Amino acid sequence: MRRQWNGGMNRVATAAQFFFFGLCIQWSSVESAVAENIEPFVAGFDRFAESRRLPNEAAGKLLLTELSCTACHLSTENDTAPKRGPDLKAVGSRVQVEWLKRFLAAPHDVKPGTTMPDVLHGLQTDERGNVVESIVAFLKTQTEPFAEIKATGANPVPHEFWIKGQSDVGQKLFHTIGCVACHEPDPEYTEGQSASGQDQSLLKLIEGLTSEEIEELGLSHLAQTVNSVPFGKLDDKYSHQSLTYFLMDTLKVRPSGRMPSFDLKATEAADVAAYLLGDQPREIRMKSLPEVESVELEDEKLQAQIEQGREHFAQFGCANCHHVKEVIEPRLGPALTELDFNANESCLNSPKSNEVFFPLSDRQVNALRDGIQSEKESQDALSDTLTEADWAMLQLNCFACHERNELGGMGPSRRGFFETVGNVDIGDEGKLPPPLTHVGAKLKTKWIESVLNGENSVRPYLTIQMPRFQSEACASLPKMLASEDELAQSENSPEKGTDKPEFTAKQLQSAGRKLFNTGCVQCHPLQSESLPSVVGVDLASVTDRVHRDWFDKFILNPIALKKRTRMPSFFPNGVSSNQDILQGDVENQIAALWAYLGNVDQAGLPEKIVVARQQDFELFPEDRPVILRTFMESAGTHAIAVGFPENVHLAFDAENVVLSEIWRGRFLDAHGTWFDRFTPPAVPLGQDRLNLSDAVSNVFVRKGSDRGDERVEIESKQRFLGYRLDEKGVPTFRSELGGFVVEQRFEPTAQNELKQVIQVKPRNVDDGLNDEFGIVLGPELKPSTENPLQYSNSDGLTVIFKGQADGHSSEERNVLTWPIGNQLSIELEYHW
Amino acid sequence: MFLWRVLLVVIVLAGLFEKSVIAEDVDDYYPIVSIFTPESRTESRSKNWKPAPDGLPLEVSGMTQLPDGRLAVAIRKGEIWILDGVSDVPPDNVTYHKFASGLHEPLGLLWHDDSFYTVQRSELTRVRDRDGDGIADDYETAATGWGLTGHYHEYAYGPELDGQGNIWLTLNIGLGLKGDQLSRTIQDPTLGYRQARWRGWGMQVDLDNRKLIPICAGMRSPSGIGSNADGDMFYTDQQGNWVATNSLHHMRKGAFFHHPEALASMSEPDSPIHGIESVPNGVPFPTALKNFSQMVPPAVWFPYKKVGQSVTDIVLDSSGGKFGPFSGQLFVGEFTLASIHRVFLEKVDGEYQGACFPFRDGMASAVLRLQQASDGSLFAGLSNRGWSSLGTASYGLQRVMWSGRVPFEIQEMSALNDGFRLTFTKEVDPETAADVSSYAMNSYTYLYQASYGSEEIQNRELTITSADVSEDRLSVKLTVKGMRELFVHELTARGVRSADGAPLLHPDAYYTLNRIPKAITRDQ
Repeated sequence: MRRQWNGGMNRVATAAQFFFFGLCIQWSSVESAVAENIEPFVAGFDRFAESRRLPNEAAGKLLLTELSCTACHLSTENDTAPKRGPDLKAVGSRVQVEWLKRFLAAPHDVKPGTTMPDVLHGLQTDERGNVVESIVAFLKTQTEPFAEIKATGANPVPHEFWIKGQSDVGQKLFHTIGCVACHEPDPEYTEGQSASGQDQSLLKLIEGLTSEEIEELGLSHLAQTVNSVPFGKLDDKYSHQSLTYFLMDTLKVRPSGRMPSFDLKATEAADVAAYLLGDQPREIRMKSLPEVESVELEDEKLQAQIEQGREHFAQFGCANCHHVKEVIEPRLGPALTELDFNANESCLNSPKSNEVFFPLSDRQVNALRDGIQSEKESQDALSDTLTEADWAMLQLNCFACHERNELGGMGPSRRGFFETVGNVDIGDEGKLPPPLTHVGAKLKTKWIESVLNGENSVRPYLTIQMPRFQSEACASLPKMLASEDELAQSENSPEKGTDKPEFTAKQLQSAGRKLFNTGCVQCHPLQSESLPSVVGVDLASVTDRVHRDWFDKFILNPIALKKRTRMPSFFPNGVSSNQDILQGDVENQIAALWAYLGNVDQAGLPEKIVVARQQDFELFPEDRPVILRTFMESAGTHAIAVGFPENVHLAFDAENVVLSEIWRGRFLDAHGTWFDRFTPPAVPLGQDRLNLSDAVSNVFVRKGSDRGDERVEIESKQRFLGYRLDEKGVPTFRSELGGFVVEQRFEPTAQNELKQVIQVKPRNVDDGLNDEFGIVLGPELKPSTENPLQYSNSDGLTVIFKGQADGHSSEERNVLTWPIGNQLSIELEYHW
Repeated sequence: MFLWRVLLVVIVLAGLFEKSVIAEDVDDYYPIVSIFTPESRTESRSKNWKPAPDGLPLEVSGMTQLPDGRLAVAIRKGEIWILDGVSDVPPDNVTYHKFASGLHEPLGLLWHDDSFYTVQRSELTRVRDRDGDGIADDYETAATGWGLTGHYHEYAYGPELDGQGNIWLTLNIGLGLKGDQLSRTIQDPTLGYRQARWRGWGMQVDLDNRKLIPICAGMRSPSGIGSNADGDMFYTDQQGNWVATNSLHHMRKGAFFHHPEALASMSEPDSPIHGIESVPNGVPFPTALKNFSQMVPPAVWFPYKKVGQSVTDIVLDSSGGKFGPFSGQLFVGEFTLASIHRVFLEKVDGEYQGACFPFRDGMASAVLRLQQASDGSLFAGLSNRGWSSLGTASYGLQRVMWSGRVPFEIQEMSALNDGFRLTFTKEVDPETAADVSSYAMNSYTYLYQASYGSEEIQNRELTITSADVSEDRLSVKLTVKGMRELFVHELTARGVRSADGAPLLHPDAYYTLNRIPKAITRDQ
């Protein structure tokens, strides 16, 4: 276990836990004295068999696929494809040999609840041992090296990550991301179950009701006991490395999709594996199963055993369900409809003598009889109570998490494990996976496909995550949902959402933006931006995700489509609660929202989010100037932006030591400079932006007593020396120019124009007496006829020099000069 | 809060005095104290990255200890903060004082000559408080003049002082420059490479004359600078194009390391590197060195994943033993895997080479900066924005302490003419330590190439023919067949036990064998 300093609490806690744990061991050993229930566990059957929704024929049919009966007893029906078992191409690298031997010899004892039949049941003990040895010898040849996990700047992959898992982190992941929707939670785990009180009360309520009352109250789906999918004793079966790799991509080993993949990152998979395998010392974690079994070709005896194992693998029908590297033909039994379950050798009849054995319970036997019978009579076992989509969801156990048409949903004792990230209270919608009633009418088929492929999560605030199901069994599910739910929709005669030709797109978007701002913004982020502490579905993708028809109906009356939703209606009794926008026309308002959500990039974030964002990142010079060094279009890569409380602002180019831009109003948003990896240039937010780079183009000093002197030296290259702040926080930019220090101080005038004071100071007392300082203005600035020290251009800029100066203008430029003397001070103003 | 403190005391005591448990966890030796590590609010690569609400975005990008013991930190947002109380355990009463602001992503901080010095994107700045009100009011440009196209990857790091009092900074290469950025580049006429001026260079600064002095070139992303016990200056580089894996280099005049786009500035006045007419590409690194006389090999390669994915700051353990048995060695920060590595250096034929070892993982976020406090503990400045890292936080400050217990580690791995000498931190069990099967060694090198990183190539198992335990049982001489110059020699010593039966906390070591020492004769 890895921990930080304060993580050492575990050590303290362990002593206490040890005491309780001791009690638990006793308790569980008492319980295990009772005959263990070893019937094969099929989640959908266990939960729903004998209910109204899953009559015996359908329940039996579910066993036919989930126990993979139809892998041997072929059926012509499309919906009876067998689940089949794990891919064994790398089983030698994944599973411990001793476990394999024990499992093959007695699968239902070693892994109670397994859906694999005991195919060696008919053999005598000795013979069985030999067959197991040979099959295992063959399986040991099924090895593959573990894939190298590509590490990048975006994907941290510690060296030998599988030995570094932290079991406490793994325990938390196991109980929060969704594993315990199907698998047994740890009774010791209590962290984060803040909702347990609520669920306890629900459990108590249900306990006190009769089954009729439960049905009447619509609580059936909550009242069903939900047993756990067993996974046997994992530390006998896996190594740390192989379980970690399995958890990173479960579908690679189990392509049926019944164990979906959370696609855990390397470190997360190692954490969960460390939890599931117990907190073992590093020496044990480092033990790996052989990646490549080296088989000496000379060892004829071993070769013969492997060969025999391969034959047994075929002979006992293993290849019907399991892929190995070699192509092995399946060994088929009688077709499903040919089965005679009254025959002596039927596995339903006298299992003890049969060569293939399942420890079926009576209700499983009865269901199978009815299921096979209805197949024989070509009856559709499902038509009355289950849709095609329901059927696929039963097989994949989607109902462990999702409710659909009052079937399934998270079991009552499991709900408490799932929380809202940050424990914000937004009700069950913030804790549990969404119900899937109407989902085909709601979500676009492509979106459902992407969700099943583990992409496009829109609920990052749930600790529980949607795993990847990508498999044959769910390939048709999106289309089934689409066709089934489309039907339900049209029965309710939906209003077809249409565009509103009387408004322009821009008008609609703008109205939608306002509507969003008055309502939706309170609960929904948009493009990852939101009001503070708002948690909800980000609506930026809504027009890509949902059908317009559904959107219209849902907005109009959410509760009609989603029971117990916290989403309020903004149109009570079909009347808009906002009469100011689009004259309160309901249809137009909904169309406007849709138009806006599809065009947020153009229409902009809602005003309230803009304001909230400003409070975080916009710079407001309040009582002192605010300075930000950044990149800017005008002032380049050495920009220094200065914002004054008077709302007059400037950008100074410290590379060329020149004023580059001035503006008024709002100053800058600093998010890009502070926190954006790609360092975008900062953009002035205010108005009256004026680029000065052509206006005041340069300064220079001219050394030499006489302007006619041929020995004059002109120095125009300034070296920036930085800036100093006075007691008011106003910066003075300093530079060196030909042995002089030039200081430039800017400040707003009372009229909200900009004043600049330039001081030129000799470094040595004697310098400057015979030297001149000059300013070069761009040619666009023309001297005024009344005042020779006032220049204007067509952009509306006027530069006014105070005091005296010598000036001369030409086509190319305007030059003004001053004798420096002991110290020169020049004042000028920018009016714009 | 009170309860927490009581618990913490209990834990501290448990950590220090618990001897009965077989310790094999780095927490028992080098526990971490979290000073400030808020939970991440947004994904570290998100365009909309935001700091934790209402908190100081303490993305530590520079650290320096003030003469009075307070810790000053620069943060990426552009501020300098002075922190008091950071050395308390638990750090419950830390105070934060903002000293300076408005800087452009400062990536280093140095207290020197009664001032702060920090390298911003565009300049080395001296930051002072002239009127004594506790807030900076003088942001003086101490040196500037390197090019800056505006590309985000043009980070600038430093400054750091070497043993001779020289002040150093390093400059990243820009990546994939285009459009307006190209107008701010220069181009080498012979090789054709284009970069902004001095990009990919290590510079010294003449503070008196505000002058940059280009020293060495060929850096890709030199985010860590630091000197060793002898005062020589090193930098770390990060895997990428032309850089096979993370590396540690000795900076000195005229050295070229690997990234050739830095040669865009080769013909600039003051360049100490001249006359490179062609650059090999796609050849094994030892071959490239033969054909490229100006290029010098790194002192240490950090094999990818095995010792990190992205190395950062360098700090010398100058505590004289207050931080455990590694005094005089270097610690190197690790970004992606949120950890710290350790480096042992030695000189062979006048050139540095040595070994790296994993040291401490499990930090709360990417380790960007390291600073040793006067009590020997290591402050780790964290920030993972823009990339990704392990850990629960996106930024913050932690402190790695030494519990006082000595871990069983390979303290030093030094090269011999016919093998390596391992020095251990504790006495070894002579039986396992003398058993050659307790060890395994292989060696490999990398491709020198324009494409990103390199696999380990020409990998070969080496035979260890003997393992001789010294009389004091603190060192083992391994005699190794088939050592190759310029190859990384990877050692695992998983079978070795300490005298009290414990395995090595980190059994793996990676020695960059640029030169095989000459055989030592009796006369010498």
